[in-house]
Amino acid sequence: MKDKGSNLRIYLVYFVFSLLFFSLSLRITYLQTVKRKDFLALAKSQHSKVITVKGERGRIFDRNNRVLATNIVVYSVYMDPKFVRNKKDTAEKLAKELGLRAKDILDKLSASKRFVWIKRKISPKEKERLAQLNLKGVYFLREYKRFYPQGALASHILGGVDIDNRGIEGVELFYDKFLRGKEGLVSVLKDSASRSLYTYPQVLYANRGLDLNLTIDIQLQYWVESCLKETIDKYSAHAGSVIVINPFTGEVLALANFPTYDPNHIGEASAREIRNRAIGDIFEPGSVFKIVTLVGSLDRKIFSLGDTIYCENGRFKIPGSILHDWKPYGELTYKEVFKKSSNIGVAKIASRLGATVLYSYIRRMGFGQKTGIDLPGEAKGILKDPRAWSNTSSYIIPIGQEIGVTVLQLAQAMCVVVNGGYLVKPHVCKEFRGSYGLRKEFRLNKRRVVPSGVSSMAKRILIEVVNDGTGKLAKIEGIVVGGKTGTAQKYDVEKGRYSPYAYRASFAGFIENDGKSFVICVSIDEPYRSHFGGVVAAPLFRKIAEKIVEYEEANKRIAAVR
Amino acid sequence: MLLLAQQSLGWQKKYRGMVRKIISLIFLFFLFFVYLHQRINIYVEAYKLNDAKNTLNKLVDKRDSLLYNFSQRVSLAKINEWVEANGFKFVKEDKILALNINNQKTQINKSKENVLASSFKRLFRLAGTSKALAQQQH
Repeated sequence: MKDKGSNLRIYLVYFVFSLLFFSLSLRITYLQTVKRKDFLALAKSQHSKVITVKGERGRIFDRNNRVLATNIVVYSVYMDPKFVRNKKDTAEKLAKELGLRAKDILDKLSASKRFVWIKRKISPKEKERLAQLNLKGVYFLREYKRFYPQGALASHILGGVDIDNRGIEGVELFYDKFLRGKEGLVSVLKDSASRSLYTYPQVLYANRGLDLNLTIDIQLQYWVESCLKETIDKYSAHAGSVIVINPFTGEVLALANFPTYDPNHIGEASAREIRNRAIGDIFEPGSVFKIVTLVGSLDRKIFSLGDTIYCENGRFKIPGSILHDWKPYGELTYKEVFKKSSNIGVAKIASRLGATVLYSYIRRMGFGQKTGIDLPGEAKGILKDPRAWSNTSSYIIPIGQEIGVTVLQLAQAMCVVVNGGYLVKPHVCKEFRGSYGLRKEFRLNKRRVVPSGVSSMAKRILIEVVNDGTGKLAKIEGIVVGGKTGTAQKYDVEKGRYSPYAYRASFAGFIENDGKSFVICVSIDEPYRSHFGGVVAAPLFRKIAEKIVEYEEANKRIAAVR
Repeated sequence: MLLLAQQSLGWQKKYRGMVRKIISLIFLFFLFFVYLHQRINIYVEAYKLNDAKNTLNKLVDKRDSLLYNFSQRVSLAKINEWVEANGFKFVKEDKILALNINNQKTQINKSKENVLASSFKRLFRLAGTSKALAQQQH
């Protein structure tokens, strides 16, 4: 009986163990076959991971390869709240080192997320100090920060980037898809402390964005900006813009606005500072706009240079209004009308042209449409269809009222006069350079709008405007200088009439020296003490022109030495 | 005798089988050892690579902070301000470099003059404008 009982127990134990082994075998088989893929993936994820590597943003240079925008390495601090032991203490330490509020950090730590940013883009020194604290759950991420070594210089051309290095203004925005680097993927091993060890080759290589060479000459840009600031300070003006452009190629050599900002701290800049006034601000140009009537009337041959026009002794009744000249004139020759900038004379010439023809020349000279410059935020100006013109319009539009233009449009129109009658597309991008010697240059875009004979005649008259007309203060001895002044009353939207106090002084002109031409367009918004284009804008034009001449001579000597 | 011979043959067969098994075990162990060794090597190399990358990162950080500091101090605007403050001007004639002629208070020694002059030349790319400087450079 006893043997039987013990045998039964042995069988029972045997059976239980067999069952146990069988079930274990089943489980192992299940895990090794059915669940194989899941566990393999889990093991792999614990030992290795694929991380993204950011491609560096392309650099920006001026036309002489001087660095305008580059990238520097900085660190961003993030946390995994799960691994933070003493949240209050950690928050206080972080707040002290990074200059943040401890409460804000604590709020972030209380979130159920596993990843929270503490501060983006801190300096390597700050990172070093923070790393010495050896805080649990606090990690660093290497990132690129856009850096503009020239500070505020050329800020309205360069624009700026946001915290994630995406272009938000200027060429940074316009050419963002070329400048932006391509993200890559890299497979890394992780050790027991979850540290990433770079081992495996990159799955997908990160590509750096293309480098961009601008048409800007940063030295010239410096002079333009400092001269503009000087004038703004002198006349306590509200704002101002200057454009220097090569009339034959449309290359913008300098573009300055005031007020300005530092693209390194674009977040702190106001909308007023960031606005690119040279291409985005629309204003009534005043007498500068008379160049359209000049070109149109010369092309249509409705007057010869010696013809006289009666200027009504400074007071001319037009439908709905009375036109005045800044000085009463009687008989003036065709040339003198422009030299002395007679509103009445120009209005009479334009009325001979007719509204439709005048409109066609306004369009031909590039007004009422975007120039197509490679910068964001360009305005196309205001130009009404001739069918919507009132009886007054055909008299006051030729003298630069009832029309809205940008400084860039004025510069483009002046290019037509200088380059032999071509409307060129202004641009700031000279070329893109990539890896393996890839180069992509900007293609010249121009079309003829008036015959070369007409433009050269207009040029001669504009030279006389400077030599013996309203633009005398722009004159430089020994250099061919031409241009047109403009003084425009600003329209007061609130009062619904032209303001007697607010003016815009402009000067659009060109210089020719040693076979090289430059168009310089200056516009000063609301200057005090004086408001005349010939007094405020023309001297600024001359200062810039003198610098250009000196610079060009120096460059020529350098070229000779080389 | 025959029985003894048969016994010895059987033992020999058994012995050979055992040897084969041992050899294959040793071989398997060796293979496994090599495999493990390679795996460990990968980790060792990974750590080395990681160290090298960290060193590289540190150097790049250093380079960037130097570039940042340099740019802050020697930007084009700063150089231009210095040029204006020291009264540098473009001259029509070649081979002239005037430095603070009117300002008698500022005494700049020769070596400093060279540094200033070379900065000026670098800025305006005026290499060879001064014969004396050109000789000094050679």
